[in-house]
Amino acid sequence: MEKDILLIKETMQGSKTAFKSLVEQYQDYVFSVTLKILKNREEAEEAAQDTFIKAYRALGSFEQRSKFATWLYQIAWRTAIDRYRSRPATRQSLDDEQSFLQIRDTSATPLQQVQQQNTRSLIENALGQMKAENATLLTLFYLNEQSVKEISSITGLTESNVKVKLFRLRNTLKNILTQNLKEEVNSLV
Amino acid sequence: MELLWKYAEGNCTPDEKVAVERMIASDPLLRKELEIMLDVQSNLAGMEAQSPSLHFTQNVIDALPELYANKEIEPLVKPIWMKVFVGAMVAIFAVIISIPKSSGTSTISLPYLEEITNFINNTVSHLPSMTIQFSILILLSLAMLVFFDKMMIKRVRGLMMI
Repeated sequence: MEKDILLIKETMQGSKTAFKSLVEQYQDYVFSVTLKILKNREEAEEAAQDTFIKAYRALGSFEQRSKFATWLYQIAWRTAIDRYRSRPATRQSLDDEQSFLQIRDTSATPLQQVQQQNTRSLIENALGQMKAENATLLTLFYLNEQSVKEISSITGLTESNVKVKLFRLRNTLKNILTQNLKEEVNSLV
Repeated sequence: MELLWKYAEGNCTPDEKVAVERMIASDPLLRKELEIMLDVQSNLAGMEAQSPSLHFTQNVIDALPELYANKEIEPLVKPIWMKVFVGAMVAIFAVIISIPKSSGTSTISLPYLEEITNFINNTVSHLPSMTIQFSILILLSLAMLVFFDKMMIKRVRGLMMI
């Protein structure tokens, strides 16, 4: 946080190197948010670039009431949502399969790895089929480590709405896994 | 169900934790539910950010407008003029101090100099505290100039930040 503030001050004194450091620090998280909404790498990258340029222009209005990251994700969310809404309704993403979440590899036995792979692909598929807003809520909560309050300020949803949505989304994922487990058991029987 | 999620996220109070552990010990179905919840939780918590293309950072930097360019802010009063001003003040000061003592023995014979020195001499003789008044005037002028200069620099920097 303090490092961010220092970099912002240096940027406003004319140092583009300081802003470059901010971009490098947050580009993956901003890109993940825009990608989750737009589900197209090219468009998501353009939206992420717009996000940083908008943030650069508005640095003077950043009042430090929230974390810089939260303020930045708020710009990313609005930029991506605006792009998403301005899309023609029939347009299909060419690389939707790349927009699924990447899950970190953990050390596990081959059998566990197969099981984890199965769980991952199920969750990835489920997230890929979710509404952009819902998948982004999960991304903000789990990947960008934003609190419910911060997600509320980023998305404009009420805190209780965010809580309810997160609860339902997790339940949906759980039900998908439960259903899959039942199918596996039935096929074995 | 909500309590089970709380447990899976690790947000339970010690009492709630004990309650959940009791429930899952007596109910195998509930235990299975919790296992799935933990599975979902760990997979979501293990998400990794995706990276944009390699040139992303440079593209952003190249596209930045020149908003906060490091423009040289020149002081209102250039240092050379400050030196001239101070020099002139010192010279006047020196003349004022030296005139009453040297007026009688002056060897300089430039035109009008005698009239000027006489005038200053008369003025000074009528105002014995003139030296002090001059000193204060000079100091105040300098202080005001420096203050005004700093204020203007601050204002220009503020405008550049908007």
